Amino acid sequence: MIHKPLPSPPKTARNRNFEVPFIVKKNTLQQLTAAALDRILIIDGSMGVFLQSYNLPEIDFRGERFVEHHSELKGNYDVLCLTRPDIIEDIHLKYLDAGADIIETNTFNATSISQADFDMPAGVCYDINKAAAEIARRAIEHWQSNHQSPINQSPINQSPKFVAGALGPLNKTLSLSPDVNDPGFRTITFDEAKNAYAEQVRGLVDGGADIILVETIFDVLNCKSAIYAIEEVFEEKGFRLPIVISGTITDASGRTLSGQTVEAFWISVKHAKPFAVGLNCALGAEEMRPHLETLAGIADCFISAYPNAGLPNEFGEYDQTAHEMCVFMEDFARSGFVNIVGGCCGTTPDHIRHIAAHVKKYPPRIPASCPENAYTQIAGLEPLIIRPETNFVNIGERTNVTGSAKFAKLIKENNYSEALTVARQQVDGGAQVIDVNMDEGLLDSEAAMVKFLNLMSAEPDIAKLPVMVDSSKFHVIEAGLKCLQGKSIVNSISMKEGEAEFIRQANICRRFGAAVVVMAFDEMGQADTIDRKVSICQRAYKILTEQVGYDPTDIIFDPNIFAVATGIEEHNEYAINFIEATRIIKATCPGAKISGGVSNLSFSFRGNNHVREAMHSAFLYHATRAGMDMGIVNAGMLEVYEQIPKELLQRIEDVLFNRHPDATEELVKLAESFKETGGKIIGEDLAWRNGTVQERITHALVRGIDKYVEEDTEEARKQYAAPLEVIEGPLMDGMNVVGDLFGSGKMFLPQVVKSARVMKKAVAYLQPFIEAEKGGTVTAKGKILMATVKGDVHDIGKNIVGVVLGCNNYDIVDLGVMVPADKIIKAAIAENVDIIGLSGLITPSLDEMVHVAKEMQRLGMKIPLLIGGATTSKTHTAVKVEPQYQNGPVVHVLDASRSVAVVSSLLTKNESENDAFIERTKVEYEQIRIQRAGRQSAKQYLSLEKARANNLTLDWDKYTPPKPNFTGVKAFENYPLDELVAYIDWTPFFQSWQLAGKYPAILEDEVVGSEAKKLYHDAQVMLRQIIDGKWFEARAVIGIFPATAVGDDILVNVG
Amino acid sequence: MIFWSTSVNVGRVLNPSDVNPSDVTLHHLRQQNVKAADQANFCLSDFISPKGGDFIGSFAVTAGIGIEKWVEKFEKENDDYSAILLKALADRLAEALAERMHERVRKEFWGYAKDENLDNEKLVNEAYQGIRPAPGYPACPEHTEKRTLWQLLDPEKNAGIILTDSCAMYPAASVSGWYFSHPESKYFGLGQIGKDQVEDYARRKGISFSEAERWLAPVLNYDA
Repeated sequence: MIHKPLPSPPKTARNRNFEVPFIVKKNTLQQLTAAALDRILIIDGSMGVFLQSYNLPEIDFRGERFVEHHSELKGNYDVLCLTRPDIIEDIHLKYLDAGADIIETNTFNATSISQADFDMPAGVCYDINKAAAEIARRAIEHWQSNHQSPINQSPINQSPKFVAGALGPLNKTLSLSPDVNDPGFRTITFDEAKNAYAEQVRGLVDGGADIILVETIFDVLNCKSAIYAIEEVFEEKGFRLPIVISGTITDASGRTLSGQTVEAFWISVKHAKPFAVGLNCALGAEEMRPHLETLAGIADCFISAYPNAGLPNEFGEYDQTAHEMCVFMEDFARSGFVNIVGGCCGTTPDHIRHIAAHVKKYPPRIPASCPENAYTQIAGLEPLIIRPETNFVNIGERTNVTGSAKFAKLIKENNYSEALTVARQQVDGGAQVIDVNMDEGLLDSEAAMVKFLNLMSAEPDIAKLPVMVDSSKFHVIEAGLKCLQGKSIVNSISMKEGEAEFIRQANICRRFGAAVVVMAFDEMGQADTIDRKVSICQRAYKILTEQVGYDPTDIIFDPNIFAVATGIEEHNEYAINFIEATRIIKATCPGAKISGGVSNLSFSFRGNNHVREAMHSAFLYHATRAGMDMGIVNAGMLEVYEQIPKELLQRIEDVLFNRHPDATEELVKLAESFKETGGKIIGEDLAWRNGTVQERITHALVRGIDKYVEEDTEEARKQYAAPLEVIEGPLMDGMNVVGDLFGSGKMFLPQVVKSARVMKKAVAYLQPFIEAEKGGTVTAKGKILMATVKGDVHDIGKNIVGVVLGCNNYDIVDLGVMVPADKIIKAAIAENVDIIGLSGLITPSLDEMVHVAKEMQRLGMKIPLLIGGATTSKTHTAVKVEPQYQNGPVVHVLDASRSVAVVSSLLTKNESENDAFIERTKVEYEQIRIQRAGRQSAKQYLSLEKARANNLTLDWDKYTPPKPNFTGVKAFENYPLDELVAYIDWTPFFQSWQLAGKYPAILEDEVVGSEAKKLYHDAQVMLRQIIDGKWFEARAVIGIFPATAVGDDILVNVG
Repeated sequence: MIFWSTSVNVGRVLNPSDVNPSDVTLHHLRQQNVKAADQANFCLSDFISPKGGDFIGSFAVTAGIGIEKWVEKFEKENDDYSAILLKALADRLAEALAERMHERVRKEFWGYAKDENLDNEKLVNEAYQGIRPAPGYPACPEHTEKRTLWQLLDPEKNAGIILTDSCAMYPAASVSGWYFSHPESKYFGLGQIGKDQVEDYARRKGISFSEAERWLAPVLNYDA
């Protein structure tokens, strides 16, 4: 009930190929377990910080052995095990006196990697570790012999004491790069770490350690290398010792330094089947509490906690007293979180004494019977638990050189940063696991896998997901597993090369704590029938669970998805076989999961993505019902089953279930028609074609789809008495929807302009019919004249306003650019317009607008005048333009969106509304004029003389102006546009379409992001056309001349 | 006229005196608002040495030669969207050409920043040494200075860019301006100026006071 029963020894004890028999040395495990069940055990406090207070001189660190050592050894506290063992034993005794049940060896930095800082000779680490364990053993023996008095038989004195051989975290990280500019770089390899740890473990075991403790883990991959090393040494020795694993949460986010959450940490190390798991260091007890609570709730083994004496002060010292700390530790005990407690940095024997006294009255924690531990659990930086109610798990397939030509190209070109975006896209598309495959003839698959996984680890938004390491070559898989701190999935192993090799590979995977995908593939080949699939998987299940010691929840079967509709009759049952095999395997192999490579199914329809995605969707619908748990898919491209067009679904299912001999042919025929359709969602694309003609026209206008508008307009024309009625009816109704959406901020400008394009196409189609009828014109709401004034050439803003107003059923008369005042007025009268709208970008255009206003006054016009453009302003309009034109309203319009409201208010038949608007504007402008007049005197200015006296005086004496490589003038024709693409500043582009935001962030903006993306895409397409088609030419002329400043002028010498 | 046959990318060198025979003077304006204690009242001429031996650059670029027929085509097809998109792209390409040309001036033609290596984002944020202010923009808001620039470079002949009466450039997708190289040169806004400077400016430019006032209308600190 409380602790997992020991698995029975394997039947063939002589076969050394597989896992070490669970024989434990010296009854240590039984003793330890009994003690932990009896009471909360006490582990000792700080050793290193304690040693610092001794202030030992250099000779103490050298002793006799290192008298000749060439560099300073002071500060290398681990070497004291060889040179001053008496001090170490003394400290152990103090902690035993304080009540510690478990004492840790003084070996925090005793690996060849950490000792490299002191340039220690090879083999020293083994000696240090062995000596350290022996010292601790000796301390316990001395202490017990001193406390064997029969009178003083208190429980604490009778109980056994234990030596925990301590493995520190190393001073180098396997998951992180120290160089911020090179995130894929690593200072050590997994094997180097593992070998250093193995040396350490050998020493500790040989010296008599009872427990192997891996502590202060801030990089879980380092810990995994330690676990791997421990397993190797246990295999060498032929016995096991209990393992305790203690992680370090470094900050309030609740994650390790390498970014893993507490849950992910547990999932990633539990394959070591630890005696206890816990947290130590970095935090004080109070800060550690919530994370400890989480861990205590999910770990099914014992829990340890030994925090620091509070957080360090500004001098790096620990202030929390024994009294203060034990209060928090008592809380841990009372809350039922702990089985082993002690202290880390800043704690002393006094702290331990107090803690021991305060926790002894509480019963020990009972290991969690967390249901999650019965489910398949994997992890990246964050956990992924596949619960019974979890739906299909998506494994992203695009970071695969065999499956994606795009990804393969990027990897071959060494463009890893672009390759990472493929991974990111999968994450964004909803992938829950990322499958990485680098199996390509021209690639060094192992090197590519390592490089890519290291880079992925540096991207938190990708690394949060577990990784599926995918290769047909096992050495590539091993290399991949050595890069991943999370619990990953191996894809795949099989019995293709026989049972022995299968077991060997499975063992290695288990040492990494990886879950495995087992292909339904044996010595006779790949399984294609139901029987073969089932029997192979059952056989593998038995071997893995009974011989290798695999947890069934870490086993994932892939019963092989093969392509259907290939034209070969033998293949017609492939889908059925997979689905049925899945059902049986799930029923007979409890705990195991089923996966598959879904794309294989639709291989015959390469190039026809719509049909492929529909097939995948239909297949998964049935396969998941049969028990398929996960699959390798293009996350983000999956269809919704209900939205597959009925006919297509029918034909697909005919193929999947082999309902009749012509099923393939029928599907192939139907597939042809789906090749044309644009857009990703097939269902959505065509369904709207089933609506009424009004619905279709509105849909086309709102979506900007011009493909069917002519045929729909024709259909409408036949339904109405006159073609004009089509415009005034269904077309205008559709445009009103557009106008409403735009007005309420649900549609953006680029879309509105696209809608206008559809409208114009429809109107153009009707034009000949209207002319033939010779009857009437469309009664628009009004007619507006637009012009860019004389001397000015800019018109993009004006054109947009024209389109927007046109969408709102106003007729637009656009005179273009550089239009003199008299032409404007003449046209306004001739066309009998209701409003004149002027646009200008450049300063002099302001004067020109004033001039137009004056002329309008002089000629007795009465219609409203609108002012707009970058150079204009409400102030200028109020102060300069309006006073010139008294007969009618003058209104400044900020941009296209506001134009509709202004025009509507000016032309509304509702008199009171109209009056109110005009009055409001007049009053506002009057106020502006008054304010400005009052404001004149307020701001302070210098006289020109004083301003000149305060000029910027650069140090011309000390400055030598750089001499140009040429002076004179150079001209460039036909400047290659290709070269300019990289220099484009896109932010103003979006601004001109009234989409606010900075590029590239605007593409991801919550509000305008999708509109911006569409616009950007259209821009890219047209840019390509411009460049490839040489639509226009770029030219430049530059000059560099000698120059001298003369006052506020610059004299330029040409000669 | 000497034409050195070089590849398009290196540019065609023109005989300066054929382009413009005489020295010209650029007239700039100085900030007049009261500044904080350690702040100067800037004028672009402050970035050029009064002692001689200094240099100034100038440019005019366009990306819109030949655009008209495509705009017409889209308008005929009732495709406002494509017409607007096309013009917006031409604007962007002209600005990109100004950016690229400025970079080449810094690195090749003038060559004072040979080792510069900035990406698009850094260029957009002006991380380079030197500036390229354009007449009409805040540091030199007076548009008629473009006429002087046209004298110096003859962009109409050499790049197909026309200056209208109002000193707007045609094709619209065009950019012109000056190159300053001094490491401490930076952009600033002129702000508003007083009548005294308008008078002084008119005198220096050889135009009437009222014409000066007209062109300086947006930056006057008084009502004309």
